[in-house]
Amino acid sequence: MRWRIERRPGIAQTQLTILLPDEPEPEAEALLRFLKKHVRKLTGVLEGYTVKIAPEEICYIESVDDRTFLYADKAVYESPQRLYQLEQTLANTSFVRVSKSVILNADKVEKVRPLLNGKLEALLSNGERQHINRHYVSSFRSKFEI
Amino acid sequence: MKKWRERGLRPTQCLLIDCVSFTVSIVLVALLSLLFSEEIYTAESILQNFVCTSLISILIYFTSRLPIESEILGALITLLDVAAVMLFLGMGIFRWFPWEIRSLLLFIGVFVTVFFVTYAVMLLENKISSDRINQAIREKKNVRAD
Repeated sequence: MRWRIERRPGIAQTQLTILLPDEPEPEAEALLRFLKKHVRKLTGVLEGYTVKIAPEEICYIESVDDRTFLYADKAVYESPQRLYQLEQTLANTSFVRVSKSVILNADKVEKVRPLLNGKLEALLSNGERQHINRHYVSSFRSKFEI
Repeated sequence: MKKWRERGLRPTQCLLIDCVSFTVSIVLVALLSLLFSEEIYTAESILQNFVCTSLISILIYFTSRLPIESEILGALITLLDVAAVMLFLGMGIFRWFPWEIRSLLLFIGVFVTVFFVTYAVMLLENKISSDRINQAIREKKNVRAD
């Protein structure tokens, strides 16, 4: 993989163009994942204000009564998007669906423990706990490359 | 309150319960048969055993979907599922044992053993999964610290 940085005075914002071969190198794939995770922003509403939130700030996303909420460490935002739309937006990132109404950020998981009913319970960085339904355990594990 | 379909065991888990409990109960009764030098099992009783374990797993499939948050209460209900089927079918309809205190105690001993072995297999599977995830989380944190 070759790379080049070109400084152009006068342009309004940074533009990134990546030229990919048919089979990109692993380093290029890693770079794309990094960009998708960190450049992508989600929209949330807090106390009437619309804000942009970086996905890495979000611990989990939950859908309740047809409303979608983004749970960060210290704030909860309401999202105008539906859960399935957010799931598509956050595909190939650290976010993974763990139940019908919850998408979890695997990077925000501190530890997990098994439950008696075959589920797992995840302790998140904001102190909350989320259950991972048995059906989603294998996809959850894949986020940790297991 | 989560929808009932999100809770409880999946069909494949119930199948695992059926298979493990059937195997353990057959082996246990065979050992008792050797211990007391008494032919307890016939082809008919083996099939009756299979009917019981299958009915138990079906009952557990439905009771595991009850809106119960307490894990201990959930486990007790599962134990009651086993007791109900074994007493009603095993002693009531199939008449495996007479209704005597000694037979009842032996019967209870067998099904409690089967219950805990089956539960232990499922817990072990879940524990292994969670340990591997926690290991991956620790390794990821160590990489970030470096």
